[in-house]
Amino acid sequence: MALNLAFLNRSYPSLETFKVDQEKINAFSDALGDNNDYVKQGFASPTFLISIQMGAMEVALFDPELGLDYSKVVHGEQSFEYKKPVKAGDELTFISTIEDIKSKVGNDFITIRSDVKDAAGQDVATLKATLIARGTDN
Amino acid sequence: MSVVIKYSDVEVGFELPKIVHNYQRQDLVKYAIASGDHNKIHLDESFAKSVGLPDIIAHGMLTMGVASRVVTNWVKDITAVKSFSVKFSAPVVVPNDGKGTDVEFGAKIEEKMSDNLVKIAVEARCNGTKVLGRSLIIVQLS
Repeated sequence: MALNLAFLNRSYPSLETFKVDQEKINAFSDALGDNNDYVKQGFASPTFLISIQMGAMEVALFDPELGLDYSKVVHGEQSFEYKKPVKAGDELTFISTIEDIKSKVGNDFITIRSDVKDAAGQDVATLKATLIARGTDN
Repeated sequence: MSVVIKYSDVEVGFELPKIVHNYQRQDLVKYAIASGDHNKIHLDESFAKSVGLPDIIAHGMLTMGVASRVVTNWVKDITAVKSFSVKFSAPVVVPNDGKGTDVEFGAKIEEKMSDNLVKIAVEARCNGTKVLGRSLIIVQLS
């Protein structure tokens, strides 16, 4: 099953502002076993933003027109570039863009870039997620 | 916060202290709640098997998150972390046997770059199999 190439380069601004609080930071760090002092000081673990990116991507990923079988999806690659650390009190917005769509040996690949800014409009981070929908024959 | 580790004090090839992380089913539930990723391949054994997986598999992002600890436990300062990228090369299978699955994480300084930046290659192995492909963290030391 091939993905719909018309989705390439489409951008999805987040419809709401994501408020980061200490409770979310603690829950995420706790799930990783990250008990470094920066967590107590209000800073999030390095991969915390994935908890927001997942939701920000859903509008695109669950659109039936895209043709992604989410039950077959596994995570292929992930990257983060940090401009400043995420901390409690941050109000973040995401713009997520479908950067690449391809099919290879029966598997579908989709890469989504999310550019994250704070309330002052300053760059916080850029995330890239590559998801793979495994073909039915493997 | 300030970075206490000095760029001039580290050499290419330096190995950061390893960590072993044990994954159990309830850890995946906890991560699903904290991350918002409720994909059933991480939570529902019969579903996971129905889509061709050997059993429930851990969230790749849980492995990436634990991998980050190898570096942040060492550098201590979160502001030092400039980028982090991973490839997921094999799943971490988590059976419901009460023992869970151990993954061993390690990291080694691969390159000293300009501006006190250091490139660190991160590894994760489960039963001898690499579960992360090429994975890199760049940190800025003082």
